[in-house]
Amino acid sequence: MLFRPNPSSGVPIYLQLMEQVKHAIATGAMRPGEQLPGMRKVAEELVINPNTVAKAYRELEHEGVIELRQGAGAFISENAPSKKDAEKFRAAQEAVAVTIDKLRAKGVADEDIRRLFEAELLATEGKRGE
Amino acid sequence: MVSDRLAIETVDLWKRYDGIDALRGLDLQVPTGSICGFLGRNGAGKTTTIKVLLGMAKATRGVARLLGAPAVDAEVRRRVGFVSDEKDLYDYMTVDEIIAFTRPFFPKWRTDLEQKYRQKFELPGPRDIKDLSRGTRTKLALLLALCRSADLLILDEPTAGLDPAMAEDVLQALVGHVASEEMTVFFSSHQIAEVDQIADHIAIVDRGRMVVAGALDDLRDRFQRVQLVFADAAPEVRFHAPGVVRVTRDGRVLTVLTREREPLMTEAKALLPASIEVSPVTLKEIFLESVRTED
Amino acid sequence: MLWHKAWRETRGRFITGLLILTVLSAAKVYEYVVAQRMMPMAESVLSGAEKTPLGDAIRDAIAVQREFRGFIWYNSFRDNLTQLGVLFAVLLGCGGLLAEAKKGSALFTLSLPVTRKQLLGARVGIGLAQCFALAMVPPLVIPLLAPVVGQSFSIIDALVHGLCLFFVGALFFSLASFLSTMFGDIWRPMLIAIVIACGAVAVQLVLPELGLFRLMSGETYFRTGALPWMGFLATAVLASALLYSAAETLERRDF
Repeated sequence: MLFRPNPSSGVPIYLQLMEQVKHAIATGAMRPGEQLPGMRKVAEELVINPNTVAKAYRELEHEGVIELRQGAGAFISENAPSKKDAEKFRAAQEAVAVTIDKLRAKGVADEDIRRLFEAELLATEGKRGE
Repeated sequence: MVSDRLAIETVDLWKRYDGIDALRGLDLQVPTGSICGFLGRNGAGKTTTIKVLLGMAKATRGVARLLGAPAVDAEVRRRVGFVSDEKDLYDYMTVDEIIAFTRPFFPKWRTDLEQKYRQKFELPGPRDIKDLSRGTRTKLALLLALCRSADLLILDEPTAGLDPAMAEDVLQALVGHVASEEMTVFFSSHQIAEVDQIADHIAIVDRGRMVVAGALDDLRDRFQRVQLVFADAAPEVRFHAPGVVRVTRDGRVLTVLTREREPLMTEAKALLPASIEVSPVTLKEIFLESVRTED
Repeated sequence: MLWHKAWRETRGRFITGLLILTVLSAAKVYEYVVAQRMMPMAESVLSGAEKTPLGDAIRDAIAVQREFRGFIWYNSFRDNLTQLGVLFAVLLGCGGLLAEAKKGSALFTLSLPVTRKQLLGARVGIGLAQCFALAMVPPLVIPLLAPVVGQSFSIIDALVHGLCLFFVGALFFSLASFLSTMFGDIWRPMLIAIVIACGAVAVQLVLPELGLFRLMSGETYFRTGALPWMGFLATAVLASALLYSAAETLERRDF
């Protein structure tokens, strides 16, 4: 279910993995309490560095998204973003769709739209708060 | 002791061959437990470094240490596995024979892994090595290196000359092995994509010297491209911030490639540009910029 | 396992040499019978010849070969076994790590937890054992086969001649081994060793006391029964020096 990250995208692989897990939770593909595949298995299947997988899992644990249970494995934590957040996610998807339609209607090219979003995100990074 | 944390260490390493300095004060540090990609142009000194580390060539000057021991020590190689770029083995032996030949040198030989890799790599036991394809020879060389319970694995261009499927097999075997056995991997490569994929540390060498080294995530974080767009012509400015690799001025756009994002951002904002865009730099670009700036 | 590898890399040459030398040695035993029939004719031709150094030498040669022991010495030990013995000793000494480097597997070998001295030691060990076999087996078939042609040959004689062949053979083996640590191809060490062998022949003509091939053929023992201890000692010392140099050269070599 986890798919290969893009190593050349410039985004660190561990971040891509974290995003995949969070996305899977948001869309309901993985639910609280369910077990994630083992780190070793993930590394071998995706052919990426095991340390990278470990880092992703650690960060996810730090953020409270998953729990690492000694000897048992990694599990989606109970208070991870749930279906409620899946709905929030879907609402966000809709909002983005509306904005993009509006911009396209104004004649803004897709490539520019993407850059505008990225630039805005990067410029306001720190402002989101820790 | 520092040496316990470093699987490989060189300090001011020099190597002269026939009046040419192949290595000119190389400082290399490979942390234990990492997968370290060793990048460099042809002739930059990658293979020479590996040869000095394995005692195949003697350093002209400087220190080279493997797992804390001097590189010339034969005994430390009991804990090291090596796959050369030529992957030439004993042509006249069969697969079975070379495994039988190599096994006794390593008291910690893992027969369970030997069985596993024989099957996984589909190695034909009674076949002569000279009749094997390059890909199969690579897998055989890998088996011989992986089964000895080594603490350190050194590979010189492990996937060179292999088709993408075979290359992926090799990388997968490496990653799978590292995931279950504690070891450090040091591999030189021209395939930036594969270094991106499996390495967590990199070392870039150019003309016998280290130009970039460190944790890959760290480098990706710090190496950035900053594009400043101005209302009028972009100013001609000399940046004082450390780590600036390249500044390009094109009309109203100033593009800065830097190794240290933070100091540059401060300076950039002070120029009051109309917009600032920061985009990540790929490993390929990091590599190309690092080996070009010396020109 | 290093010894096994050294064996695998030289067994072709060794077995070929052993077969050729043994067969030649055996063949000479039978040749005696043929030669004997021609002997009276040769003697009658020469009996009327003048007393010149050449004539004397030929007369001496024929006289020596009249007996079985002399015939074997003249044709086998002095001729075949010496010349071919040197050739095969040199062949066995060629190769080694540098030759491996040309073919590519040297890096694999060098990455093993063995010192270069150990690598050389295995090759030298196998090589000297092979030289010993090549030196001893062909002479020992002579006492074995002599009764078949109605002759006898002392085993002690065979052993002593074997030793003579071995000591000088070992010297050439050591020379080839040393040259092999300097040149990677098979040809240069072989060529240089053979040139040196020719040089030794020249030296022998001028200074018979320093005759390397006289030693190898065991001439002193044949004629006087005295064992050439000095010769054995000198060749052993020289061979050791060459092997020591080989080890040092290999140690310094960059691959």
